[in-house]
Amino acid sequence: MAEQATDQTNGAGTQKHPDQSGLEAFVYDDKIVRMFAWATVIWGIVAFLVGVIIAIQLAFPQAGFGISFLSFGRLRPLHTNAAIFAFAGNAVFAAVYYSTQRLCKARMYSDLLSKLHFWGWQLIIVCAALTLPLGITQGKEYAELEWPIDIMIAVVWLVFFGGNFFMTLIHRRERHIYVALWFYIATIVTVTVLHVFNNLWVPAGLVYLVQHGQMPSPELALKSYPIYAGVQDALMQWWYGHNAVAFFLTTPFLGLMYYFLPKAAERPVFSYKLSIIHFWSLVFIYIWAGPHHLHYTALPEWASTVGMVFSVMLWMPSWGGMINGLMTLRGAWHRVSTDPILKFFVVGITFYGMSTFEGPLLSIKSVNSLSHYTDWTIAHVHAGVLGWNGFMTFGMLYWMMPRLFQTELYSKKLCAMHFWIGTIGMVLYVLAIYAAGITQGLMWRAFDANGRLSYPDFVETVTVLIPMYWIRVVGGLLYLTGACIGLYNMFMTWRTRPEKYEETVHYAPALSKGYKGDPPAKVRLGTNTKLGVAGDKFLQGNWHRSLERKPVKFTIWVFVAIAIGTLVEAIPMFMVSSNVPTIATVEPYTPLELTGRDIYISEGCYNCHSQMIRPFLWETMRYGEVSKPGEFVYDRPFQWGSRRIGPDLAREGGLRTHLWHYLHFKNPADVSENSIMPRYPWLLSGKINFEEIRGRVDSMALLGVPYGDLLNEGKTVEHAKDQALVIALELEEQGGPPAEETMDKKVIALIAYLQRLGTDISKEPVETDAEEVSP
Amino acid sequence: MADQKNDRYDELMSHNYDGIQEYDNPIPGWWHLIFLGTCVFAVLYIVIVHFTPIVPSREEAYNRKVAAAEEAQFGKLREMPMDEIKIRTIMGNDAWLSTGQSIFNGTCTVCHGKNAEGISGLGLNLTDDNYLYVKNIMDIVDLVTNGTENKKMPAQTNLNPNEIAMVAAYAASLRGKNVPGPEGSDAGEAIEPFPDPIMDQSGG
Repeated sequence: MAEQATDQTNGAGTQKHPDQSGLEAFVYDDKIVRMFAWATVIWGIVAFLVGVIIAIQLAFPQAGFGISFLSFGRLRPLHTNAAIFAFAGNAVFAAVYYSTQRLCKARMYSDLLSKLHFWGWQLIIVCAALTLPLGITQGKEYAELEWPIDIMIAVVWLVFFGGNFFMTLIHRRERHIYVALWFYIATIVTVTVLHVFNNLWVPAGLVYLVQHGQMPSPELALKSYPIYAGVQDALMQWWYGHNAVAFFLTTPFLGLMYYFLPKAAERPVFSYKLSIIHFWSLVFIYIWAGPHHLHYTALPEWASTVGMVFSVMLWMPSWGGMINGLMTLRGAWHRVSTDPILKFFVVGITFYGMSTFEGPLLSIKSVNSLSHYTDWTIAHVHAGVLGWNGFMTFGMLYWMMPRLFQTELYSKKLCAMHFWIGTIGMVLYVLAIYAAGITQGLMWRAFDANGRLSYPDFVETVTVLIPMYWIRVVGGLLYLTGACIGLYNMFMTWRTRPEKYEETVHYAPALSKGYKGDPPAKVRLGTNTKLGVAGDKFLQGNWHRSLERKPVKFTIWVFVAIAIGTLVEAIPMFMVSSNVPTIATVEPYTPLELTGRDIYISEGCYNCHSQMIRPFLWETMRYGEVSKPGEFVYDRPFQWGSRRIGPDLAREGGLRTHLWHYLHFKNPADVSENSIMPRYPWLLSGKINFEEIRGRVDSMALLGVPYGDLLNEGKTVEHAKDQALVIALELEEQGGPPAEETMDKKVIALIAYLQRLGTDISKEPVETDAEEVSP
Repeated sequence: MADQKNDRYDELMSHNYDGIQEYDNPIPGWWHLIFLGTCVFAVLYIVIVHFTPIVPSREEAYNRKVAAAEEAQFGKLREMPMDEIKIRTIMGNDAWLSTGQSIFNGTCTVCHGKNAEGISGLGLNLTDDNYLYVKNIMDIVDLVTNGTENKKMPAQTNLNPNEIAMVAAYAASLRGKNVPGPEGSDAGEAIEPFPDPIMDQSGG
């Protein structure tokens, strides 16, 4: 079918075969794959490097140097976003662009869309790398990027990437779409839905501009508040967060596996039936699993149960992928010992199997009560990303390198070295952090003979982890070293490329209309009941074969599959008020507290501190009363957190003096020996922009927060300044610096917020709100 | 499915995508079994946990634990009014005093230091004879409950009255250890000695 030719065919333009009529000529666009491949490795190294930096900071907190843009709370989102969206993202695009063209026997629909996709995505990554260290964040994990970048993502993903991909499917020359493409379809559809519905916001800068006619500062211009609050925001966020794992880190990589593994192993895929069953069960079940991130929180128990049982049911659908992967290697196992590419794939798929067994395990409520907020989760995700995503990516890249650069791989030895160094690094990382997670989880819940906490001082439960944090640094460094060897190998391979890449012209007929190629279903059973025959035909899967010819219909069914779980969880949460019982004494944050809360979000405090006390004795004894759903109705976004590197702050309000907080921000180690929290000197010198607080308050009011009288012209600013002065004076009286020095500093707003946290439920209920109405 | 294993294994399908072929192999039986098992588990879990009284609700389970823990930790203290006798009784009981120490380590050391020696500018030394806000032993209870008027010390709102009594008793018991503290941590003046503990090891 393929012939060598040097004549150029541009874009998707279809030329006829010179001899035979009916055949169309086309050339695959490998240039775009090369670009995505380079981006994958380079951003991968950046992601791993930032990971190593923040790993060092946890073991040695002075490594933040008191510099704002190097602080853990700001860099950790950069690390996660880079690993997921830059490294894994570009790897997915490289895989999709390489395999889709070949599986469809068609060049990508539009070279322009391909280029817009590539450069658009790199621009998004650069924007992320610039905004996150500056503290510009939405404060929701893996959805930190602020609203203008959200819009860019939506356009680049759906229009450039999705448009290009689906138009290629429509113009394909292969009748049936292969299982890899099913997974790509699920990826594109679901990520779009997740991204859009978790990123609905009100931009505070625009509100400020419209209401007050003044240009907002960049800080306010880039600030947004989600339309969801508290419990609902938590549900949406973890519906998104978990399915980012499902549809950004799992389905596209299964697609990648289904193309590149049989190619590299030169073996047929183990079972077509298994592909069908595990694809649909995976897509249908995954979307329900999100609430397992919120066990024992203020999320209603029914939602938690739904999240758990669907996670348990997800075990076999996930393992279906692993079985199909490993079993495809039957007959090629002897090559695994000599071929580092297959080694990468085998370890990658094995890590996938381990992670997808561990996932259901961690989703079981009682297991989760131990693992949640600890490093166990961190170990779990690193097994997934380093092992599954990382090694599948490297396996794919090494397989593609000679094909993309049309030369020999520079060094198979270096490739094997990369594999071993990466594997050792990964194992060191994961084992140390498992140990850290279980150690800390057990220490939190340990009681002494008198029924009190054995380790009442939180810092004790962190100090003990430091040796394991150093092992993690070593593991991370090894993995990074492996990636650097990979980049070197790729660079050296590229250097021996031909002067001009050969572009092979392929020929295939266009799809004809009215296909009738299906063999009829056999009647296999000795049954003559109509139901029996129909059931037998269904089991033979011909209906699915016909679906594989109709990508649009296929896409619609995927959409239906993911919509069911989403709607069943979200609709009751928004419609049934008993899910979030109101508490009369819970009031909106004051303008200054709201400003402080925005600083809390901006500094990424949620990366180390939770705000959610679970109904366990060891938890309430340490932190205070159990958190209630009604306490979070003004929290936009919610800040429950997912990891306690520091203690929970849900009931922090009033527990310590302003001065303690002030000194603690100045240098935590001064007041809390062995604390690994970074210093925040910039909060002590940075000034509050009082005028722009109006933009914050007005945005919240627009979302239905009852600010009442405060919204009248001038009142907001006045109220904020008054409260700041009161706190500054109290701080001075407690022995802090003079009030005139601190009254306009960011630290005052942050203290105002911290002193409010969790205090509303113990307030005396006010009979009427006559006080607020009076002039 | 097992009976088809021999004759239908590794049969290639007609599919060919860029050279990739697929077998028509059946799905392993254990896959079906476990998948079905997890589905049955899901249904049973929902029914048992949410629709039968066998498993107590999350809230009920927590409340039971709290009640049991209060009984175990505080025993007869729960019936005693908050007075000097109560504090002295705790001071005379090693187990209760050690509970007081645990509360102290989780609550007070952030300002008063790991050994109650005080932290410059934040908390006073509690091991010497000088006191700034305390004239008698019940003033300690009042301080922990309400904080100081000038807000230099906040009220510890997360503690219940029995915990407050225990931590106050422990704080009182530190007097006389005279751990050297930073400059200024010995503010205040010497006060009358606290009354003696009531020695009673029962109930702790």
